[in-house]
Amino acid sequence: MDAVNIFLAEKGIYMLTVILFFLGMFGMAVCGNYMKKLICMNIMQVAVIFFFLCLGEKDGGTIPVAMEGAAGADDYVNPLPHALMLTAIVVSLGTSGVGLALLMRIKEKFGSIEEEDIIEKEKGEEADEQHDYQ
Amino acid sequence: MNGGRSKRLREKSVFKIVGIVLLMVLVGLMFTIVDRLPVIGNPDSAPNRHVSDYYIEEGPELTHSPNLVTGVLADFRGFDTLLETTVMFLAGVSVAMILSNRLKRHWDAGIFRKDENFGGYEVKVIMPILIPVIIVYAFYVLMHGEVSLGGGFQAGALLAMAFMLYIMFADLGKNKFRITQHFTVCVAACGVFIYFLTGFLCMINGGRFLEYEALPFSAEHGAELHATGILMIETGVTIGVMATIITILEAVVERNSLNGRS
Repeated sequence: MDAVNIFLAEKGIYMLTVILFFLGMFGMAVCGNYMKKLICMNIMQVAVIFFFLCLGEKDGGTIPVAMEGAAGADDYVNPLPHALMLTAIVVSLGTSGVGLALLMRIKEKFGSIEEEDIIEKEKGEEADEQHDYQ
Repeated sequence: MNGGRSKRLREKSVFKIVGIVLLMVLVGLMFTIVDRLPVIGNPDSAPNRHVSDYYIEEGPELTHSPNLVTGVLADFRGFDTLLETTVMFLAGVSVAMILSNRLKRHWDAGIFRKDENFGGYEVKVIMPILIPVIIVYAFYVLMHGEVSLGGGFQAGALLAMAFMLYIMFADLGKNKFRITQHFTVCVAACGVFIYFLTGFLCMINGGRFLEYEALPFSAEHGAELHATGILMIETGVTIGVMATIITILEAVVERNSLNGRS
């Protein structure tokens, strides 16, 4: 039992992030609603951010702000993943914004953001065009 | 027609099951490599060595910024943040371009107040107290970015949040405080320009791009110039992020109000 506890303490968080990542991927593959696909993409991004932040963790490290009496590298958590993920969060905001804008246009054009409705509508339009052509 | 629909449903459930099985296999494969990943919290693991030690030990000396994250973000990796802000600006521009192809008139901010339950009297009392506090806090976060926790991105998000609360709850009919998305795109461009300008100012005295010690200001020693440079680019980032978030909001709201009417 001890071995399992130690393993979970050392590596357990990786499993959680992997599960979260693939949960997002599964949603993106399976969901028929484009809004849900977008939310699942965000879940994937959050999983990647968690993964990077896990790598920067240190036992006994404090927040990465230089202070009196703590000068060694072991006294602070790793600032590099934090700096990288700060920008990743902002980019995920931008991608969500562009995705939402595209969703609005799709909704205007097809009247729905369900994949099946859109496919049906496109088929209907093609049939109409062929009919006109003949 | 009915048969086709049930057939499609069957296909879809098969697709779902295949997806679940495939993802299970992928998760299993990922679990096998968990063994090779570094132990959480181990100070000697590979990601916590190499360049990270250099950043922590030399960072406060070299960048004169006690906040190591800001030091890495704004000084060691200034180019990264520069292009990051540009990406943010491009996201705002693309949202405005996607959504504004047939805009003819400006919105009158009535869209949020169609539903009377949205903002009650309590909200209208509390917002004038809350919004100035949020703005003051945003400026505190911006100015304190290099000394303690804070930075440009957070300050920009806070300012955008204050604006969002304002247009949601304030009585715009009386105050006539309106911003269009074209204006906010220009503001975002100004934010990115401030960042670039800081980089080019460093080149006047013969320094490299974004080498803050070569900024053409008079200072006692290099530390003040570093603080000035970091504050300048943080201001640019703040303006850029704030304007981009407001652009996305404005574009969506304008489009929505047009659709509601036509």
